[in-house]
Amino acid sequence: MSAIENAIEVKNLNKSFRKSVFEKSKHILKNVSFDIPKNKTTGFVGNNGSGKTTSIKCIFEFIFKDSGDVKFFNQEMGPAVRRRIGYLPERPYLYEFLTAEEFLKFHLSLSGIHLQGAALNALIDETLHKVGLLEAKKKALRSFSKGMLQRAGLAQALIHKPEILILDEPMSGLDPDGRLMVKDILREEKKKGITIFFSSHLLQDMEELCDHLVAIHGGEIIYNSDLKSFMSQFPSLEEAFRSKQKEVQK
Amino acid sequence: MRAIYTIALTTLRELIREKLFIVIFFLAIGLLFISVALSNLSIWEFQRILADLSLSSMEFTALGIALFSGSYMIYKEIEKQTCLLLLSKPISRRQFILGKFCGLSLLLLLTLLALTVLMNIILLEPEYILNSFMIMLNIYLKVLVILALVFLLSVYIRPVISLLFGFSFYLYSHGINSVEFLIKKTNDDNLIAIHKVLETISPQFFRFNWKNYYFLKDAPDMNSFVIMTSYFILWIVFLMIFAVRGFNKRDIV
Repeated sequence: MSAIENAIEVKNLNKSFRKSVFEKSKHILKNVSFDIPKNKTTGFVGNNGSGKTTSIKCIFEFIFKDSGDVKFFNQEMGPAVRRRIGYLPERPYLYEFLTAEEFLKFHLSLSGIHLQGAALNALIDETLHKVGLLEAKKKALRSFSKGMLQRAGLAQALIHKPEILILDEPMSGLDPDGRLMVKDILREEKKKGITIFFSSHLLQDMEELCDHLVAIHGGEIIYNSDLKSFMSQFPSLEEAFRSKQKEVQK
Repeated sequence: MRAIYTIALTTLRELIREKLFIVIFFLAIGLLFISVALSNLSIWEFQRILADLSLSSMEFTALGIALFSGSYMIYKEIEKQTCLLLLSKPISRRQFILGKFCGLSLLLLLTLLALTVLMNIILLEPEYILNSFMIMLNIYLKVLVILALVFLLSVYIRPVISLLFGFSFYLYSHGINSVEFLIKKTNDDNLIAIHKVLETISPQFFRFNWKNYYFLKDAPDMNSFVIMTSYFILWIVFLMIFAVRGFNKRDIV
């Protein structure tokens, strides 16, 4: 695959952590390399503690990598790149005293989009409608359920109409209706040509949504290619993933 | 600048809606009225007692807000990871931390302005009005130095420790003279040396402690005012440079 077809390229990412000065540092990411193809949906799969969230945090420079290289459309991470990305962290904690409307206005403004009046209200209503929160527009986020907060978080990732969506466990904590809604939104965004990269434990959802798969195990990438090839000899993604893990452990 | 402004306004909005702020603010108003009650006990010194108690109430209210909100603000952003959403946007870490600082500074300014207006209404002395706002600015800048310090500390250490350190620093900076007097009496060379170091690296609040009736009646001259303002602003800038540098290098795990 040529470089220009990839929205994100991660090369030889390494990261070690030390809990305290008395402890040995632990190598969390070991030469992690993968590509996220443009206009496709990529799933990021791995067990708890395998390095999914750390990889995403390194991509965004929330955590500073020890070594390696991350490129977005062949560019380094910076304000111009961030403007093109929508991000939802795992278990998003939001400013709970803001209303859903204030929260979206705040994030839209930080994304560098300064709309006013009717245009601003229309965009906020459209986004809240998309995530099923239009009725709760004037409600403070502290009165929201876990699922509603997750959807509000998704709304802020979508409101500035990004070219890439990076979502860390977007379906976690959602009831079946909420999961269905998120899946529908992701399908809709995919139709628009948005590049989507999301991590999840829910392999069935990944199977339904993804074209490309990145699998990580113990801080090492064990698969980075299209989903169909990964599953070619197995009836489900879960079995394919288990088999790949066993193969690596040997 | 626009990002700092947006973050500052949202921080202010969040803080105003928090119960802690509302409780502290009404406690301060209560203290002002207690000052009136206490000053009524004295026939001759009514204004002096009222002014001294009111100005002290103002300073401790602002200090309380700065210590509690300041030491927990950045820590909470990192612990709860609310900052991740903001830092994924095209803003720098510097803009984020300065926006947070400016939001809390705005809250302190509004609180002190409201309490100064209330104090003037209670005092009913038109000739004190200008001086009272000069003293308010003195209190405000002192508290901002403490706020910058707890911001810096909370990037590295737990909020309770930064709160206690901030309060100790405030007390020490006000009482450097008294501490020096006591330490010299001990004749302990080590203590004297430690005090010398601390004295050098601490802001000298005791030199600019204007929260009393004397300064309300006779305002400090313009020269002192300019020196006080510049001195505290330099301290704030100095501490915030280190807070930004610390936050820029910190992994948000």
